[in-house]
Amino acid sequence: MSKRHSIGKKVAAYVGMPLLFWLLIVAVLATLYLHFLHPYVAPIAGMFFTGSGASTDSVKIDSIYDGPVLVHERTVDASLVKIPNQGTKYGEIVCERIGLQADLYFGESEEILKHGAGQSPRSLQPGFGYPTMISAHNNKEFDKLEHIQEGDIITVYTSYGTYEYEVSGTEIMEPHLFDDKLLLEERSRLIVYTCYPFNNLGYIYRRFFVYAEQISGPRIVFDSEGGGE
Amino acid sequence: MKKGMAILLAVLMLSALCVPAMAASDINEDEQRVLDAVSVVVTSEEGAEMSLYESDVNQAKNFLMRDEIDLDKATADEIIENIEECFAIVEKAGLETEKLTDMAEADRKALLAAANEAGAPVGVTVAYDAARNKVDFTYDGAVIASVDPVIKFTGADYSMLFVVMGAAVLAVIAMAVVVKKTARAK
Repeated sequence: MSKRHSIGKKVAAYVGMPLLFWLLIVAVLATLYLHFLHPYVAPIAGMFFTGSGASTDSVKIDSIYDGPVLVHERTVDASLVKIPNQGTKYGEIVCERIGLQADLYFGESEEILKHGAGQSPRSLQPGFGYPTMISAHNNKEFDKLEHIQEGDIITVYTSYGTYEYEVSGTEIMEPHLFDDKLLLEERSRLIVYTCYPFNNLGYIYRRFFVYAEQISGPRIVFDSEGGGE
Repeated sequence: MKKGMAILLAVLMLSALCVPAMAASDINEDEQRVLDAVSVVVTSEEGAEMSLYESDVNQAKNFLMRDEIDLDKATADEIIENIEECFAIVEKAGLETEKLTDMAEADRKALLAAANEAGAPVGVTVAYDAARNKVDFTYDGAVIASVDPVIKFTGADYSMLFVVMGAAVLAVIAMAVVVKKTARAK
């Protein structure tokens, strides 16, 4: 056996074959992932494949949330409510029936969405009487949204109160068709969205929206309103 | 109706001239006047309409509701005056675009310089990332508003995986060629 042939065989054995096996494994896993394992693998995969690649966000990730607070009053004083910086965790979003649970941050930059669900700064926090819009990745926190149904209860926990919303409907559309005037309506509702389809390796150009109406939770009142009801 | 430049102008002036004051988290009358001012639609001499996203007013509102921000009449007047002046600059520039990147570089630089100068007294800085076509407004070290699409991308991006797999496929093919050639040589 020539020396050159021996080197070629070694290269094939130590580099080529491992690469070949790696490719096969990835292909098999990708197939299994898309068809069977998505609910179980998504949280792990989401750690590596979220967002649109390298992020240059300068958002600082921190938290002002120490756990849910159950407020039985119908109102909460505005002085107890902090407007968080973008990147600050201020609550959780949960839908028990479908097993959805995610940390809730203010802001929805790439960096923030790597850590959890993000509230759009173009919407207001729960309790102000206006819509709250929250997004998260469809292969991580919001992968279970595909199972949501009308009538499901979504709960948003914050450090100043707990808010429950009943799902009133869902909608699939392209992002540019979303009417952001909805965010200015004086209506206590939750708008949740993620990319659609859920299990898709190709370019994702649609969004899955969930609309839910508030059914409980304290209203935030300011001094100018007389301090409560 | 749109966006980039108008948002930059309006939010900039809104945030840059806010004066830290005693706690007050409600939107007072003067702050509301400012919010109204940023909601206007500007028409350039060429007839192009520019405005914020409707919901961008909420970015401003979220900032104004912070405890440490409380505008008085004089400050609000100054903000509104500067907002109008900035819109006048945009009108004069005759922008027909919704993208900041389409603005003439000289105009953009002048605008950003003016923006940062205006924001400096209260620690507001404006940073523009041309690669991402995104503008961030930072106050006290934290982002308070951004000029970007309302609906974000929230899907998995497997492009890096595809690149790695593609490279691996090429490597395997190369290995096969090498092995075949060496076998022939034998």
